[in-house]
Amino acid sequence: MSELVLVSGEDEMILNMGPQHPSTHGVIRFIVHTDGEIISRAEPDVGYLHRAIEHIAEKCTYEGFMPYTDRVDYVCAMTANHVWASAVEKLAALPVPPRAHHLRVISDELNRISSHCIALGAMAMDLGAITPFPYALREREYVNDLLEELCGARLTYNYHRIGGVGWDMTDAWRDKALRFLDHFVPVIDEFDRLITMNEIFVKRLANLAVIGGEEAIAYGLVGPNLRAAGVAFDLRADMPYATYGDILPKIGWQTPVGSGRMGQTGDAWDRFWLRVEEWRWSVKILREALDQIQATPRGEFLIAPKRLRPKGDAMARVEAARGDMSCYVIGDGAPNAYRARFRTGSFNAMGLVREKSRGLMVADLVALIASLDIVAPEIDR
Amino acid sequence: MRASIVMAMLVLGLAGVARAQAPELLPAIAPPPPGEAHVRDLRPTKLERGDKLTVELDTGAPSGPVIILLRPAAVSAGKPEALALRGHGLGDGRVVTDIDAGVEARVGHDARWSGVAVQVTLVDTGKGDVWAATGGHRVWNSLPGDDYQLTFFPGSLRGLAGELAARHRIVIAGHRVPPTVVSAAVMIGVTLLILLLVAPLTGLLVVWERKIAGRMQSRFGPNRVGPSGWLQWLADALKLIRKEDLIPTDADPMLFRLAPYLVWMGIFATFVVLPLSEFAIVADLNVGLLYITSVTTFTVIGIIMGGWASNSKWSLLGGMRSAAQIISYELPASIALLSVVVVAGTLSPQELIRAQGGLPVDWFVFRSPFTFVAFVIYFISALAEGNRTPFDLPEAESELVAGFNTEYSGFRWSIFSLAEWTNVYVVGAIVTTVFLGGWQVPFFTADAVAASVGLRALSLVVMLAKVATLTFVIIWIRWSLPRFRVDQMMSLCWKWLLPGAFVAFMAQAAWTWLVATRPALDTGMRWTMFLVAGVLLGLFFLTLVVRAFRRVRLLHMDGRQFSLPFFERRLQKR
Repeated sequence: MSELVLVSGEDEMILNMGPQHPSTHGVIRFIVHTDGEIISRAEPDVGYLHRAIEHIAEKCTYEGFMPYTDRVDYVCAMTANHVWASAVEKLAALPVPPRAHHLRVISDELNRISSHCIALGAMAMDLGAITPFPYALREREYVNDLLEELCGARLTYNYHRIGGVGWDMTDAWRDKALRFLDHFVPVIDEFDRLITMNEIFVKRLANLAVIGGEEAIAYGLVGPNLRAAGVAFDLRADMPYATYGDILPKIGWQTPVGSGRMGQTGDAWDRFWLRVEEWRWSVKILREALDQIQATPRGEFLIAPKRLRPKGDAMARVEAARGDMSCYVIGDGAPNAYRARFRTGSFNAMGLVREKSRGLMVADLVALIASLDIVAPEIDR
Repeated sequence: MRASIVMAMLVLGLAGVARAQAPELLPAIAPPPPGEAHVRDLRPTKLERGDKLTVELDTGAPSGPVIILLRPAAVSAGKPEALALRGHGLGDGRVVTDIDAGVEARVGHDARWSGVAVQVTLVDTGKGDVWAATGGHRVWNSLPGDDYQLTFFPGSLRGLAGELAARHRIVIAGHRVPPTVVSAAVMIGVTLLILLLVAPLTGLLVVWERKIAGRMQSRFGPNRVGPSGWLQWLADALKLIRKEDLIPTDADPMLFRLAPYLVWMGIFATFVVLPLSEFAIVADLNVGLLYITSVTTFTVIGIIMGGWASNSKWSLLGGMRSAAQIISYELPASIALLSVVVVAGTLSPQELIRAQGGLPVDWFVFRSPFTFVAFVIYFISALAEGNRTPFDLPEAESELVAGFNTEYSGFRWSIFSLAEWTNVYVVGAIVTTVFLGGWQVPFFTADAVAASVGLRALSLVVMLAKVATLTFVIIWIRWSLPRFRVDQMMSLCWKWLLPGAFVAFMAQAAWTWLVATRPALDTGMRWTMFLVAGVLLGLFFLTLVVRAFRRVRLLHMDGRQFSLPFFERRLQKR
C-alpha cells in the first residue's frame, strides 16, 4: 500500500503491530504512530492473507468451489457456503427443498453462535480478562460437536450444496441440539455476569471509538457493527432468505440495536453487548427452526443439479456473523463461473480503523480491533 | 535505612562491599593485639568453648552505658541469660534500662540467646563516645554440646540514642579463619538457603495458580508431572534452563543481563524481614516496613532496565508503564501501612504482630474503619506494585506482546517470573503481618506461643494458612478481572487511593490519640468493625460464592464438565 507513512514525525514513535501480534486476530499489520501511549494514527496494512479465492472460483466448477468458500471466513464458514449456494441457485434458477432451507438456517445460526463465541471471548482476552475466553470456547466446542455430527467437520464444514445441503439431520441430533440450547441460555447470563457487566470492562469500553449511524453507513459497515451504531438493518429480517421469513415473525423478532446503555450509542461496549444479544436471538431462531423442520418430509434435503451451465449474473446476500456477506457471480455457460466476487464485513471495518484510532491509546486500539470483530481471512480472501 | 542497605547486601552476598566500607565507619580504636581477628559485622559468629572474647562497642551515643553481656547464671534452671542492649526488648516484655559501667545486670531471659557468657567491663575511653569493653574473658559454655552464637542484630538497637550503634567490634581470640571470609560464607549460605527454600515455594505457587486457573476455566490444570502435577514447576524450570540464552543483537548486553537479577533481588530481599512464624524470621529489623518498601523498589529499576536494554519498543513501553505504575502505587501503599504504624508505634514486623492478637477482633484490620480502608488500599496497591491483574499493564500480553520481558528467554525469563510469583507470596505475607494478626494463634498470648514448641509450630501453620488464603484471593482476582487502561490505572491511584490512604492515615492518627485514654471506645469500635466489616461483609460475600456454585451446578448437572468428549458424556448422563 503506497500511502502507508513509514516516516515518523518529531516526538513520534512508529510501532509495528503485527503481522505477528497476539491481538491482531490473524495476520494483519498496523503501522501505529504513537506519542508515548497515545496514537496519532494507525494505518491498517492488509493483504497478508490473500489467497486469490475469487480467482479460484473462476478455475473450478460451481460445485467444486464449495469447499473453498469455507476459507473465505473460517470462523463462520457455514454462511460462506450458504451465500455461494444461493448465488449459484439464483444464477441457474434451481429449486431448493424446504428441508434444506431449514437445515441451512439451523447450521447458519449454530455457526453464528460459535463465531460470536470466538469474537466475544477473544475481545475479553484482549482486554486482559482471560477466563471468558475458555468459557466461550467451551460452548463453541459443543457447537462444533453438533456440527461435526451433522456434516463431519468442525471448522471448514463444506455442508451446503448447490440445490440443498450435504446430509440430513437425525431426530437424535435434533434432541441434542435442543438440549444444547437449554444449556446455553443460562450460560449467556453467566457470561454477562462474568464480563459484559464487569465494572472495569464497562469502563474500558464505554464511549470508546464511538461510531455513529451515519458514519457506519458511510463506511459501509454491516452486521453487528452497523446495528451497534443504532441502525436496525438485518438481512434476515429486512431481506428474508431461506426460511427466515417464516421464522422471525413467529418469535417476535426485533432487530437488536445499540442503545448506548453504558455510554454512547455505537461505542465498543455496544458492539460487545450486541453480539451477546445475537446469541439470545440465535437460540430463539434455532428453537423455532428445529420446530418447523419437523413438518418437512424427511430425506428431501438435496435436489442436485444435473448439468450446471448457467448463463447471466446473480447476486445473493446472507447475514453472516460479521454482517452482510454477498456473492456476485457471472456465468457464461461454462461449468465454472466467469467471475465471482465476495463482499465481506471485515474489509470495510478495517477501513474505519485509521479514522477511529486517532487519539486512542495502544490498549484501546486493541479493543477497537476486537470490537469490530475483524477476521483476517475475511478481509483479504 | 542504612540497616536496610546492610541487609540487602547480606542477601546479595556482597561481603566485599560491606568489608570495604566498614573501616571508614569505625572510629579510631586501638588495633587489636596480633593474632586476634576482628568481627565487625552484625551477623552470627560461632564461638568455641574456651574462646577468648573481646568486645568493643562504639555506640555513637555521647553518654550512658549501653551494653551488657551476661553470664548464664541459671542455665540449670532453664533460664540462661541474654545478651542485651539497653533499650532492647528481651522478648518477654522487659527492656534493659539501667546499667552502670562495669556492673553486670540481669534483665531477663530468652531461650534463643542462651549460651553467651562474657564478663564485660565498660570503659570510658575519654573520647566521650566510645564505650569499650573488656579483653580476654573466657567464654562459658552454658549449653553442653552447643556452639555459642554471639549475635548482634541491628534490630535490637531500637531505642538507642543515635540509632546506629551497631558498629560493634568483637575480637575473638583463637579464630584462625579471617572473619570476613566467614561472614562472606555466611552471607552466601543465607542467600542460598533463602533461594532453596523460596524457589520451591514459588514453584508450588505457580502450579497451584495454574490448577486454580484450570478449575476456573473448565479445564485441567497441570496434572502430569509428579503426583497430580505438583512437580510441574520442576519440569518447567529444567526446560527453561536448557533453552537458548538469547540476547538480541542490538540490546545493551550488560544491562540486559543485569535486569532480571535486580528484579529478583528486590523481591527476595524482603524475605529478610518477613516473619514466617513466632520463631522463624531472618532479622527482625526495627525498620522492617521501611526496609520492605525500600527494597521492593529495586524491581522497578530492573524492569525499566530490562525494558530499555532490550531495544524493543514493546519492551520499552512495558518498562515505562511499569515505572509510572510502581512508583505511583508505592505512595498509597506506604501511607496505608503508616496508618497501622501509628497504632502500633513500631516498624518491626514481629512487634507489629505482637501488638495484635490471635482473634480477628484483635487484628489491625478491624481496629477502626480507617485501618480497614488502609487494608483495602494497601491490598490494591500491592497488586499494582506486583504487576498482577487488573494492573498487569507492564506485561499486558494482548497489547505489548509480553511487555518488558518480550525479548527475554530461558533462564533470565524464568528469573523474572520467579520474582513475579514470589511477589504474590510476599504481598500475602505483608498483608498478613500488618493487618491480619500474622502468626498469632487464637486464644493464646504471644508469650504463651513463644514458650511452647507445639504452639510455635502452630503459629507457623497459622501464618502459612493466612498467606495461602490471601494468595488464593490474588489468584482468583487475576483470573476474573480484565485489565485497566494506563490512564485509568493512574487516575485510580492519584485521585482515589492516594487521598484515601492519606485521609485514613490522618483519621487513624486522630483516632489513636482519642482512644488512648478511652479503652472502652477502642474495644467498642473493634467489635463493631469486626461484626460489620468482618462478619456481615464476609457473609454477604460467601452468599455470592455459594449462589455462584449453585448456578454452576445447574449449568453442569452431571458434574462432568472436564470429561471428553464433552458433549457425548453429558448427554448420555441425562
